[in-house]
Amino acid sequence: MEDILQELEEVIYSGDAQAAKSATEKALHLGYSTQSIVDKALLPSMKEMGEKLRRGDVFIPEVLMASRAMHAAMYALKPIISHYTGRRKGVIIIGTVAGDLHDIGKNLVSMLLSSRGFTVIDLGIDVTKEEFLESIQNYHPDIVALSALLTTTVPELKNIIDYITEAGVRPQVSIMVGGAPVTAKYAKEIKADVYTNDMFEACEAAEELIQRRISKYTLK
Amino acid sequence: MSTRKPVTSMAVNSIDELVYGKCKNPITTKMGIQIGGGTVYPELNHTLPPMIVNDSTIQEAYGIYKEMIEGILKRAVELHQDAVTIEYETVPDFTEHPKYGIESTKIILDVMKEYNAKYGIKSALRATPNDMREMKRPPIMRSGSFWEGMLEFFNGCGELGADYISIESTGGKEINDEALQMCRIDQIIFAMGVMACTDMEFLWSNMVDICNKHGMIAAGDSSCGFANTAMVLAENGYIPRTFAAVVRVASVPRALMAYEMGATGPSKDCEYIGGYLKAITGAPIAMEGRMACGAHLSPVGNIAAVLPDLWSNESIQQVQLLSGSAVTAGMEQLIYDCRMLNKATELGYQKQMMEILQESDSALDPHAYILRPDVIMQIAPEIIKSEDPLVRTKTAAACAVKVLKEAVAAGKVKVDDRDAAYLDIMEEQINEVPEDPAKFWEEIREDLDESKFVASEYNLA
Repeated sequence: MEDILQELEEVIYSGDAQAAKSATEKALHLGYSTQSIVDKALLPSMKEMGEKLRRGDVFIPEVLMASRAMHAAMYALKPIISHYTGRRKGVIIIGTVAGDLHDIGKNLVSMLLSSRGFTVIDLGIDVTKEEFLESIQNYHPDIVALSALLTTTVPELKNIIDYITEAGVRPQVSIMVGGAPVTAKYAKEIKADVYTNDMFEACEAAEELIQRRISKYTLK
Repeated sequence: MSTRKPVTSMAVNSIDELVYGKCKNPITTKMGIQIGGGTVYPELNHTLPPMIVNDSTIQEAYGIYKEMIEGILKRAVELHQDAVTIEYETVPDFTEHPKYGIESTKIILDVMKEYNAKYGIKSALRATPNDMREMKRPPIMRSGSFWEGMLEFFNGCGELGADYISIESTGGKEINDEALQMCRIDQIIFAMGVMACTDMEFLWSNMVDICNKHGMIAAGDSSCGFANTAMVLAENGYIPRTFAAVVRVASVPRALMAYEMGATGPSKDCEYIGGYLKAITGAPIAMEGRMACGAHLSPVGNIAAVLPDLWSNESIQQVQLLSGSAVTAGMEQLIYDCRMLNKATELGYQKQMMEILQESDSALDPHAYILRPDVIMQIAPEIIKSEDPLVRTKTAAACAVKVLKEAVAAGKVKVDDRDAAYLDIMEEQINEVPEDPAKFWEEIREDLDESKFVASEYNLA
């Protein structure tokens, strides 16, 4: 019986969305619960794809294809997903700050977080402090991830954190910052919770923050 | 109004004519620096440290620009350098608010003139405003306040006396970013060969007219957002190195469009296919390599120095090092590199120097391999066999795949199997690309997110 979950993992690795959907339907037909399909096949396979990317065994397109296959599998589960009682991962709001149009780095972080099972709300690029606050109030995220790639937009990170703090919602969220010109020292100065250097660290930190509200990347 | 004059023949027909410091069509700056006339000059690009730019901080920013240019020129004088070139590449706020950009251009030019008067050092200024049109999504390419602001800044630079103007235009980037992440070379060909080239015909018609009006030199348009993004993604191991190298060659027709509209160079430093432009158009080129590592890493540190007329650092921000400002240190590094290149020429060792620079990199990475002058002379003539930008872009990509496959098979360049497999994937995708832009658009549009761009801005029905 476990063969079908193994098969599902394999087709996710190969990025075959149609096969992933079929394997998921077959698993349901064989009596597997939504929870076991998600926890034993979908999430572990995407976690492994992230690890493969980190080790340099695959490229981004392969991870994206696997991610699409996973979403096809989730689509097959959709009619009964409300019965899924497994642990839901956290909600993360992510965006590139106002005045900054760089989106590839932010997209990659977003992709990896999604593939790990987080609910990622990607606000896009050139996102104002008002838009971040509004999203926090609407979606009640666990984590807000901010990206800045220009020396002149880095200070916007502080503006956003100050604005969120003044609005009184700062204690509700953990804030992660990143981007080429951002440093851990600066992140600490502006009272971010976490600074990470790349998408893998961002993912690792998010996992830890969700579990314990503290991470090895937490700024002390 | 400037119109396109397609290039149909190579300016350089023999690899022996392809050298650093010298090109077929040199240009002369306002203070009399001949670029491409035999000497390689440094081109220093500098930028602000992390700071907010607005009306309350702008005086501080102006002060930093003044401090940077004074430090740069002071060190150049101390090192007995008789001429340097400077790039002022704005951060977006300085183009969005043209008054900021124009005032900083004036500050820089005033110091350059002062140093010329006091110490005799010649200098030239490249102004590189931002392409602000992408600040609105989907971008409006031909009208609106962002476009108006860019025109104001272009004109302001001309009125103040900047020597030449460049840009890193973003037409087509709306779909290029995702195509890079998915390694879809067919979509990249569409982004650069159809969308970018269409936009550049419009953009450069305006830019060349402004340059003509003010006696400024139109100096080219870097594919930074396209091919440099690919190179950096590959450098991080996110996409295959072969893919980034093919994207690089596929960017040649896009860059060529600026010259066909009237640009005469020197091309911008981060346009790494400058060698192709030099061979095709005869224009002088700026290149960046190992000295650009303060801005980003690359696999082409030495080979990039095989053909430059200006040798650049990409960009460096004003931070303090043990020796002094990073900007001043950057100038010193460039001056020593240029001295070495020029002395090699003077002593009759130019070809040997080129060989050292080329051979130290080209076998280690496909991106370095496609910058070899012999590869340039093999691919460039194929590109200009057609005048159509799409056909050219498809040809450029196909030639790059072919050259790399042969090089990998012959053991001339190091590529691992996982990476090399993408050469076959790309070959398949390229073969499927139609040569008629309208047909290509019809075929590819279902794969594209049309909410990201305005088709009519690219003459797409």
